[in-house]
Amino acid sequence: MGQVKSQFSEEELQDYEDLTYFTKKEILFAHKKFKALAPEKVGHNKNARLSMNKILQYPELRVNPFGDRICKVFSSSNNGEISFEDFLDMMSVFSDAAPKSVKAEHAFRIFDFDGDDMIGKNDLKQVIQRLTGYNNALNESDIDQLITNILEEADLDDDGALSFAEFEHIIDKSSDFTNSFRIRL
Amino acid sequence: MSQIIRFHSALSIDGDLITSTASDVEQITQELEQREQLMEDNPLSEQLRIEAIKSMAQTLSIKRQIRANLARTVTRRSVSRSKPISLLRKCRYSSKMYASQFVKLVKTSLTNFELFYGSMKEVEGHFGNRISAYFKFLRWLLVLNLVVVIFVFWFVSFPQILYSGMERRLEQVSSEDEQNITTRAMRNSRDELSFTDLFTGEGYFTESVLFYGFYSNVSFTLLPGTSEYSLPHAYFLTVIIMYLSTFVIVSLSMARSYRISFIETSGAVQNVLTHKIFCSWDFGIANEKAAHLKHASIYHELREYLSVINRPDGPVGRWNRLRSTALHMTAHLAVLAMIASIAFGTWMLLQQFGQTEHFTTWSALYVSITTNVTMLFFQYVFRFISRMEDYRRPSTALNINLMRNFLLQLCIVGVLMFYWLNKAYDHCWETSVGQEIYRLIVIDFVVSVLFLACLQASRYAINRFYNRSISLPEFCITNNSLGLVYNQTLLWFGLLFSPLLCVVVAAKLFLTFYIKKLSLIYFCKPQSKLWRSSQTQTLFLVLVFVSLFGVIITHGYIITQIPVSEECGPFRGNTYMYQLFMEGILKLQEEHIFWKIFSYVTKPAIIGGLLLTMGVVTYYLRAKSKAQIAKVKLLKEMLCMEAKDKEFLLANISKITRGKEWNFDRDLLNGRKSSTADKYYSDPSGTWRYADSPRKISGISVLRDEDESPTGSGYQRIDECNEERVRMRRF
Repeated sequence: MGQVKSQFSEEELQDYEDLTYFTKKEILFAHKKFKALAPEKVGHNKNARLSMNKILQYPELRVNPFGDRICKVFSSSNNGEISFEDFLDMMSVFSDAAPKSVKAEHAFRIFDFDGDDMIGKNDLKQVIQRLTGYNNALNESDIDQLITNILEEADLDDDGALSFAEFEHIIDKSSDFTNSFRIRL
Repeated sequence: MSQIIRFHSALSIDGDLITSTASDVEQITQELEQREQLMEDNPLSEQLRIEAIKSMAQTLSIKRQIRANLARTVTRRSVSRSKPISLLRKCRYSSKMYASQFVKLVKTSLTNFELFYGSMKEVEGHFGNRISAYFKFLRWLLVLNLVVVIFVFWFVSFPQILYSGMERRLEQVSSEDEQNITTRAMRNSRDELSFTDLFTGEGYFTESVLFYGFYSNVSFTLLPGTSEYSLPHAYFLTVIIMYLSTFVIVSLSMARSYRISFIETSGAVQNVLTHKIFCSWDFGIANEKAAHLKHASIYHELREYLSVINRPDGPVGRWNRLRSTALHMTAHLAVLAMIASIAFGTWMLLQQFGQTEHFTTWSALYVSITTNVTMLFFQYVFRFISRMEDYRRPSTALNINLMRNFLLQLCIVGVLMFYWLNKAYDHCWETSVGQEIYRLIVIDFVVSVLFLACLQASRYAINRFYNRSISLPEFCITNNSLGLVYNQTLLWFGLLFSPLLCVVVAAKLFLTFYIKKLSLIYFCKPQSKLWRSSQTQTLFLVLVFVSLFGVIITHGYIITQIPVSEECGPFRGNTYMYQLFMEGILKLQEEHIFWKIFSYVTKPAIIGGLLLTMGVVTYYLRAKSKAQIAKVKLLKEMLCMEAKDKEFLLANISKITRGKEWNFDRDLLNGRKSSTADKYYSDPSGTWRYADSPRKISGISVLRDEDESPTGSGYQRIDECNEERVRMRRF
């Protein structure tokens, strides 16, 4: 533990503590996990950028159907490469202490595949396909029916896509969302 | 800190979803600078600033820049208008700061002590966050019990142990006489611990600190020079305070859980599909096998949803509906008949085996073993019955199953209690009751934890090595949680009669955690149905609350109506237990005015009136909530209308402006190009917000040129030209 501690100064830890939902101890623990993905690279530069493939080795992200979307959303260079700060940000949003609104906002970005600030029909189609996995595929008409039902339930202004306000409205009413949208560090 | 909470909700409602393509830092800084409460130069505002920045959805580097910008602005402003802070205000700020820092310190230290962290992570990785709900419930009960253990041990058992140690040394000086030996032999107590005693609680344990009978009724001085420590008062007060505080804690947890899962989600019967889609993937899963199973279960859930949607609504026709009602009625009657017969059978069994002469042998355990095995067996029977009934919604089936099992447990426990309290005892009835409960708890551990684990292991072994058609065992969360509720009820009932029972139960819960976790990971397969965890969790807390309430009522009856035994225990000398409290502590006599008022207030009529008033208030609140739901519906329709209005107006604007020549900078009009300050001040109505987010107009792609009117809305739709994409942020 001494080696890790010497990589961070007290001010940096305080800085991270102010900007995320973690305590100093958790930040050091997060760095340990980040380093485990690529020990040599992170040993040289504690804020190194790891490629998306390396990050997707992390156990929870590897099996997650939205793993690549998560990397893209949290990547500060927008190409999927994650530095330690991005990783910290990611774990902080997925932690228990993050409020529902923060999680909802990131969840919206993750589910918005084409990046147009709306979850449209194509986005929903991709979400459904990824959720059922590529082995069990629903057929086209089923997916269309599901999409129509979702829009019927959630689209309040009838414009054929979910805006952030509508998404947040749905998430507010769900008590299971916080439990699902969580990764323990 | 309420400011922070209010601020959070403000930020999420009118804060904007800013994509990373916009020039974030300046825009965000400007927005934040508008809020007065953030920009003051005191520590409170600094905390608010930190909270606001934390909750933003930006990368860390951007957040750092924003924080630096804000800090610069704050110092700039405070220098320009510096006024000294009064002493009072300084005190207020520093006290708030210290309070919040203290709270943060407590929270940090608590997370260090999170029990079972590694095990929970393992369970969540394999099976997801739903099943860890059971383990969380177990952990909560364990912590509650540990607190009780600490208090009871410190105030009641520990002084008694010290005192009896002192007493024994004094006794050894004087000689032991014959009478002592015979009385002790009569009570079936022995000096050495035998193996049977661990299960029956008799023998060595009868005269030990485990049970009520051992506690003395005198006050003694532990350390010379200090005042007397009155053991009876300590016993009574500690136990009563433990009951009341546990009651308060449980009711608060229940209320909070109810609020979160029912009220805030407004019953959550609608939006089922959206929840299924967005909340079903468990981000905590870390394991390939579990991920495959999760994908499969989501697929099956969606298939089932589609089939339910496409199925015609419910049993059609009067005949079918009648048939299904008749089926449900028969099932309910059958279940009630079964429960009644089990109660009767238990009563017969007790008549046979509940006598004192059985106590030191294994036959004392027959009653406990039978009741526990019956409860385990009937879980499967009830599950079978509910599958035959074929409920339309699986959650209804789950809840009804739960209620039936709970009713069975309640009946059995009720019969047992009734028998014990009405039996004629030779001596020390409190110790005997305590011993019965001890037996029940130990046998429950053996049957529902150890035996069940062996059963699951054997099923797994058969599946692996012999015959694949026998499926792997499933971990049934509801039945296991119900077992926890049963265990807790027994503990609360027995705490009055056996203070150290909480130690036994705490050890049992600890072992249960590890055994269940191991059997879950190695032997069980994940549940195929997705499970609505938070609502059923609330139901369990309600059951715990109901049991605790029942126990407190029973104890109230025992304390006031049942005479205390004369030869043993800390309440010797009084007729009823409460008299110790009244006369000893409050020094009240029967004729006192307080007693008269109290007995008047507890008359049935007054209590009935109170309950009636509560019923009226509940009815009023329910009517109010129904009105709110209707209002919400109305507002939703208005929202739809507003959207259509907006489309119509924007279409008209574009039609009009297209006809004119462009004399001025279109970019300036749209707000895309302007100086940062001007953007806000020159357009205070806020239309500059409607700059960058797209909005699809009901199915038509915005860039298409053909004139196409959509599905009949009565408003004219004009095709949009390519240069002008009217985009709107959320409205």
